[in-house]
Amino acid sequence: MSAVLQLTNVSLSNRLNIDALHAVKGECIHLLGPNGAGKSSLMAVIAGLISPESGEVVLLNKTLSTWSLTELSSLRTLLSQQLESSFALRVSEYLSFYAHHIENRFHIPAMLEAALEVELFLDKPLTHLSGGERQRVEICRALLQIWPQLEAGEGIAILDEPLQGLDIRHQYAVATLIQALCGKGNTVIMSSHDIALSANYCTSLWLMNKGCIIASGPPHLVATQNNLESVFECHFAISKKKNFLEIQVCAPITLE
Amino acid sequence: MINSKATIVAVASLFVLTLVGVLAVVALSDSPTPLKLHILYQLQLPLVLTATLVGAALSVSGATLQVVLRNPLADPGIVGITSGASLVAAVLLLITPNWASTYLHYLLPLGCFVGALATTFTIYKLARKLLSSSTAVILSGIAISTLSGAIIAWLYLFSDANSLRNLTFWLMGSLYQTTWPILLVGGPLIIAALWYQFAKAGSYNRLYAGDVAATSSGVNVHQLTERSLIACAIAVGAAVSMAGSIAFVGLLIPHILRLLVGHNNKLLLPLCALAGASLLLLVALCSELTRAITLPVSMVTATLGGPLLIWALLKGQLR
Repeated sequence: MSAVLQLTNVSLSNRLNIDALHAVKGECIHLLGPNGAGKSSLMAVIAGLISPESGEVVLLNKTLSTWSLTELSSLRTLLSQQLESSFALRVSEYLSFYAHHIENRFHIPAMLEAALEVELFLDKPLTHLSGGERQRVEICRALLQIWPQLEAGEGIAILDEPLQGLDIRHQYAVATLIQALCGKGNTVIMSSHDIALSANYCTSLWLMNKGCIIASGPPHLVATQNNLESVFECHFAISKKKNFLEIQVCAPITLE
Repeated sequence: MINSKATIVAVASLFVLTLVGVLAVVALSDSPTPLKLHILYQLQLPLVLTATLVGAALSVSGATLQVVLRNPLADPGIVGITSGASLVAAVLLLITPNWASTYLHYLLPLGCFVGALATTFTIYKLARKLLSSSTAVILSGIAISTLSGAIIAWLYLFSDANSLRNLTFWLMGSLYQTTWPILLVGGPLIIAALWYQFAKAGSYNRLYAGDVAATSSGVNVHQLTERSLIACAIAVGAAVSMAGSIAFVGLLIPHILRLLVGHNNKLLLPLCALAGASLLLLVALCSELTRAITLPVSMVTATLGGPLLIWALLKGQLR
């Protein structure tokens, strides 16, 4: 078991404060936490886009800050929540700019197409897509960037709320795609707000609140009533079925 | 992609045709040979080179600015690069004392170039102080151009009729002001600035997905933005000092070409250079054919460009 990623004493002014955290090759990590918990900041730090004020991030046995932007770009990919839509360029064109390594004619790998179904709107302008369709294109774009690594099982994908805006079928399709990628040996860290889905589709859960990691490890040990209730401040009912963790929010939330 | 290949051929042949057209006007005239040669070397060739360089500089810089600032409305004029040049030109043309007017021919291009660089620098510093977003660059650009427009208007009040006429002509653009020395300095500057932009076309393509995605794919967005703004300022500054302020080319050509060949900057930027050059060569051809009156360039580009841009916008919206 080799650690792909290690964080020690990483801090970022008021936003992040992480003592120790690591990810192992092939792990499928889902990151849970309330709004403003620092999930996006943590992902930006891991991706090397923000350097922490103190502490050390080690990626593939090398300090993150010593990797060049170009080297990183072929090893890891980052899907952010920021959307850009000033230009009405066609989806196929948009994707081809990120799939530079695919020789000759650009086509979408079968595995991606099966989960994301973007071929339907390859000829549409980006600005004409619905929110969920756009999100599928963005996931596709982010994964295409490191597709050769993902195929070889050597990739690292950092996805900030990939499920946001997707319909229920595509949410499960994307969660399954990510599981399958991890099955090949890739490491995925994704944030999510769907606790019930995440608990059953990850190999490891990271629970965050106020810039700190509250718990990390296998889902059945992390998604406990105690942990979830203290982090999300509402009541949960958790029952463990055969190979399945059923999590529901039970107590209604009052507005008084 | 057949569509884009056809467009490349069309744009390239348009360029060649107008080039031949402008030169043919001389060849067909019935003056004696030595005079013909003199006209060719001293008037026609500088005219053709100016039109080609200025057209290419303005439209490529327009396309680059739109992508780098993530705003389809960006244009060297709207962003404020040309306004600094116009301000310096106005000051020089309106309040230069008589003794200096003999050097004005060289002072003016130099002043314009410095003015363009200075405004770009000011705009960029201002934008970074406000907030480091691309909208801030555009807003500061508009602020700076409004300010220099106001100063020019004040200068109007205090100047005589002759300098006013000179300034009006300058502000409308003219392809007949260059001489070989100016071309020999400005030409290489424009070519170098455009070369940089062509070389970065692949990185510009990544910017369509936003700062974070582009950075994650290995583009140093901050550095690219800074250097591209400098490259645009150099190209536009040199263009403005050769031909005055020419409106619209930087907005018009990229938008029409995006509809025809798509958004791939590796294809779009070189085509913008060809099409921008063709457009100004057409303008040059028009003024060669109507020799009696010198047509202000902006007048022709705006007359041709306005309807074309409206067509382009409608087509883009409806598709």
